[in-house]
Amino acid sequence: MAGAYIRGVGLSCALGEDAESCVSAMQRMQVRAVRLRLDEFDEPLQMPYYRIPDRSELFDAGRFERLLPPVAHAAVVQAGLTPEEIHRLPMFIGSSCFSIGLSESRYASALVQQPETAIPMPLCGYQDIAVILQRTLGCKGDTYTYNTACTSSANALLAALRMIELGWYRHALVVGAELANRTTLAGFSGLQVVAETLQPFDAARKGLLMGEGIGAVVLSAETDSANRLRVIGGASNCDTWSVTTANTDGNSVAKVLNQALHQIRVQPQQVRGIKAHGTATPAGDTAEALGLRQVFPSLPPVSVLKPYLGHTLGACCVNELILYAGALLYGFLPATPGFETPDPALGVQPITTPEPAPDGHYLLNHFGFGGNNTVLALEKIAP
Amino acid sequence: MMDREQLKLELKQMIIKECEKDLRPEQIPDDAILIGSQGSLALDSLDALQIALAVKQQYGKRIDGNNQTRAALTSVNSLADFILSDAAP
Amino acid sequence: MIKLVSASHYLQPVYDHAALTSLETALRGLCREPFRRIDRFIQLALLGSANCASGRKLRPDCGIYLGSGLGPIGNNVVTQEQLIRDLEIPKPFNFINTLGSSAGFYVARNLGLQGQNFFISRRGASLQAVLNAAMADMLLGFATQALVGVVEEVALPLDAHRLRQHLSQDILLAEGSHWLLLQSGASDSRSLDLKRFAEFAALEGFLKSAWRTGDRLCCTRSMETHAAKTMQQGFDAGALSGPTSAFHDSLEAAWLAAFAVSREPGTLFLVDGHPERGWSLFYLGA
Repeated sequence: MAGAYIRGVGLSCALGEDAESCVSAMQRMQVRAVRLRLDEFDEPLQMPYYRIPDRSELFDAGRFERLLPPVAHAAVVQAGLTPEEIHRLPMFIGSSCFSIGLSESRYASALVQQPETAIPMPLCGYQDIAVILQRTLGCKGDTYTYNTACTSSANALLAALRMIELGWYRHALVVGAELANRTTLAGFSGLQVVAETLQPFDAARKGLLMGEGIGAVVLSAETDSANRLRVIGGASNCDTWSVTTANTDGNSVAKVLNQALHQIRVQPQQVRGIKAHGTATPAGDTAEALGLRQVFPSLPPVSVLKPYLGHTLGACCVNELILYAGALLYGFLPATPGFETPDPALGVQPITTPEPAPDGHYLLNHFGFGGNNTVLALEKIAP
Repeated sequence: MMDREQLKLELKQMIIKECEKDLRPEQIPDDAILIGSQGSLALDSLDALQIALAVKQQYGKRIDGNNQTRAALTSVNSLADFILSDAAP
Repeated sequence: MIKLVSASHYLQPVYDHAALTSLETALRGLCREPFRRIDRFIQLALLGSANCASGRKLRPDCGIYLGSGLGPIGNNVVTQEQLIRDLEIPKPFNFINTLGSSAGFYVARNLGLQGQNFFISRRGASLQAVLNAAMADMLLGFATQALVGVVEEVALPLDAHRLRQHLSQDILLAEGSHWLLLQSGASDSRSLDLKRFAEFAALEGFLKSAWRTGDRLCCTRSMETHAAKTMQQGFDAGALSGPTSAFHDSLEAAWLAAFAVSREPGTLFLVDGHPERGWSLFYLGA
């Protein structure tokens, strides 16, 4: 059968440090951003930020290695894989930051200690997450690391799904990771897209808020009959209209939604809910809303999860998939905090109180810099 | 007080460098519209952000989403006025 | 059947105290529009992809699979210096180009593509990662054409670039941009196949039956020494003459692209694997 089951999950984000408490906190509509202040620039950078609520300093160099393994471990344990399966487990990683925060810290301390020999980007490339997880979990399988901005972990998941469908792998670990780092915080600030409040699809929306999150999913070709969640397909395309946003006419968003529906052989009216990308930037939400309306004459309930954990960038797909899938299992569609005033130009109004989640098909949207659009399809199977 | 003519030349050089335009400073009229499709330079909102950050770093003046400061990016003239104005950075 | 319809191969050693080769003149004839805001990694990707496409009209569903071990390292170095040493907010163009996928954006724009567009990395084996992804999509029918490229950039100074890769200081470094255009369906061009084996013995058995005099064998650098030695002794890999003695993180891509461009007879076998994860064999046939 096409598709792959979600057999184990792990999550650490602003909502909490394990998947179950994150989903419960979302059901209670917990929103917990902290005030972040970076003093090293001419003018201090300040913004609300959704951090993982561990006790360490935000830029502590040890956090990267400390926070990653428990999340992946939780997913592997829940999946109940045998030691042999863990040995061969391939890893599909999506991130936009990788070890850049660690690289920044090392370069900064080298500049203080031995400025004449300090090397920028002392850690380079994309392999560090895979190396840490292979060491701590004991996996030796193939690794695929995706860096396609905010669709990174969506594309990683899509690749894992397809290779499972081909029979190349029986199980795959898909990981999204985004941790605080100065490059991302300062970079987005330079793009002037960081807001003070997060209001997806709202007439007053001013921009995004960033957050941290590490998510891990074990996808499997087979599972026990109690498992009721399956990733069934998806589609990805590239819109070369602008490097920072999909065309605001919504055409490329509509195209990728139609491709995804076509691939899973589902009509728009059969879709039970949509997890929107909803960055809350003026242009990003316009492109997404106009694309959705081209495809859906009447929209199923739309949820935006970024008000709970911030925009976790390259990791947002896996993190939000875990939250959305968890909610479906609990039987609710998540509400969207922060949405108040509908924008008539968009015509998309996210739900503001939780609604029941029936069995059936759901779509999850992701759009990123570099023109990348990726839609995933999830099925909640009847017991 | 900065010399206005000198400042305008600096600004044109800065725009050419930051936005990687294949132009000489004298090819940019003082009142040419900088950003948008009706402008002769064919610069877009991303160029505007690049220029805004360069202005902040070189002249300490902040151009952000606020309409008044955003208007500073209309032309080299308006940008020079903005930098020479007494408005707080 | 997956066929190789075109390939391009750019490999340029970078010598100590020499500047990086300017790519601007070469790019002028290859780009539909003069791109601004692009860095050297993007230039390398544009150069290789445009040469590989060489004026062909690509199919609308053609996917781009860009692999790299280090990605846009030059721009990342500049951005980190600005941020950490000079305490300045990164400039928007620099920040956006720190992302690996920015290069794929410009490649797509230059070639008029709107299909799938992925940036995938695997240290020491990015070619294998992108080939697997591209072939999976083609086998499942998500793309009937795939532009598969591997790009490695050098950031000056060279001693720092060697240090961050843990390389000894006498290693000659190179930049590279190596591209293959793959297509489903029959044609008289070389075919690219992939086989996966759980056991080393099965891989060896297959290779023995397929091997013809004059064929080439290439083992992934990250492969265990023991397995690589066994392979090389068994199959007279001395016959494989590489395109260069210079190094970058994805040298297998250089071997494969150079072989594809050369029109030499025979088959190139590319082996990758580990006793605990199994083995994969890509082979580019005659």
